[in-house]
Amino acid sequence: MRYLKIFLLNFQKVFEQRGRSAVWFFLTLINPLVLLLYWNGSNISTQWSSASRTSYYLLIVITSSLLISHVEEDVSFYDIRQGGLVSKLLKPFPYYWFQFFMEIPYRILQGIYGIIVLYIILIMFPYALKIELTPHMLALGFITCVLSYFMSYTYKLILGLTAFWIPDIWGIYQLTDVVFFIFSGNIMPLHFYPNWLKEIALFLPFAHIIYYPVLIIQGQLSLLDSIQAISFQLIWLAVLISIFKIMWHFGVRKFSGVGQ
Amino acid sequence: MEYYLKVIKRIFIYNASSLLSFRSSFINSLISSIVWSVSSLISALLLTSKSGSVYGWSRNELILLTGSYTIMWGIVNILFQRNFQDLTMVIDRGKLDSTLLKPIDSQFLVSFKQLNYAAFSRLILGYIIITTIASRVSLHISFLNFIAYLILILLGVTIIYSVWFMILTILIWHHSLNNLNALANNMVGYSRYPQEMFQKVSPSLLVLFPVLITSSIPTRFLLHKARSLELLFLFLASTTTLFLSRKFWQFALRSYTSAGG
Repeated sequence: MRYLKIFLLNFQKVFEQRGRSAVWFFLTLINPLVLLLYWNGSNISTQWSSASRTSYYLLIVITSSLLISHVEEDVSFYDIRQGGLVSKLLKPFPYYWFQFFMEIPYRILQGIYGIIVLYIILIMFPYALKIELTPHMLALGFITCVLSYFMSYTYKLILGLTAFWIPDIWGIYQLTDVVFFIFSGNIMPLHFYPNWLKEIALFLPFAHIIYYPVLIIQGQLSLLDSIQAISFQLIWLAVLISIFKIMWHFGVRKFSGVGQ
Repeated sequence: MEYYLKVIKRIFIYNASSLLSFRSSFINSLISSIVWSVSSLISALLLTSKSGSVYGWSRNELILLTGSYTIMWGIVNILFQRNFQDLTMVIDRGKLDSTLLKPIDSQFLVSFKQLNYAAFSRLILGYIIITTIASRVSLHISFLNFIAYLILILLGVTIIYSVWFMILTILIWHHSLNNLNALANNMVGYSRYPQEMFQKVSPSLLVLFPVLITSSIPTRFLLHKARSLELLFLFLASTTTLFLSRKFWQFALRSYTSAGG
């Protein structure tokens, strides 16, 4: 019940700051569309049809807006660097869940923006989205999206916690943004990568945040492959949560109430 | 002028002593810069791996474009990026007062007070990319051509600075929009793509968002493909955006209230 209260209070705040959410959504919308524009000017059509490309990047827009958390800035700047963590440490909630219920309203609002944009695009271009979903794949798609969100949230929380030790957070964020961009399937589907890079990309957690959910929703993975992808998501989620717990344990000891 | 030269000298000295005092921070920034630069090159190689040409640009030309982008982004990183990150916090917390009370131009101070020496690594990598591709395609770059190229890069940096600063100035009215910095960051990132890509959508995009041409035109100059009109446009865009950023900042300061807006 108390988490519901946190969620509702923060939803009110997020709705007041819907302009901020709109900026984040704009970024998740424009980046894949720029890449789509880029590929439209290349001669990749023999390997990757125009319809598949459009469908792929539209799904990237939707999944990115719904599933990519942006909690790292609040954690690193407002909580750790500015000392706002003091009030949260005194509250009777685990920090992980407190931030989680504060972050969820942003995802809901961004998801609403994404659905509106998708609806407009599908009215203008009815055949833009190619999805071949069966009922059980729909269920798997839902599960993979939930796990993907938890992975994204935990990963971004870990990034934010690096502020306990590293002053130049923006350098880390720029770096991790580019790494995420490369290995999450944003540039192009990972199966187009050179074999050695594809193996690395499919192993890392980033592919399980965006790439695999997109493939499952598109209906391009078999039932067995989907279950395997979800299993890897669970394993990575366990790893990320362990890393978070360790960093939190040592970071809080280092934290001083006036900020870092 | 002499006063500002003294201030610039102090800024260089202050940031150098800060680098020596916080060596681990410098090393962390250096590693981030190097890995970012290498990752950018990898993403460029991936983008060019599946097709021979994109909008008339061959693979080598696109990688050359990445080199120009890396150099330009390196300069932006050295001079402005930390200041822009701080500016979002400064305006949000209503701490711009102390800057406005100082006997120095506020735009100058908020734009230049911090330097990021670690980002020099991006300049080095950009230079390596350009010289490697130039030798691969037997592209002869004379000393004068290179100086002219650097001037064009600096014009591009001016456009990026001005547009980015104008975007952040909006924070004076809407201080909660502190993710405008990320928006500006992304917009600059689009300059790594060929300008013809955006021209295909609408030629007016390049006029409305001159950031999109900041890497393309210097690269086309290196390839001996730049038209005089393009060079003139780059120059006009840099002076116009700089002038507009100045006027917009002065206009915005009239609305600034110190309690975080």
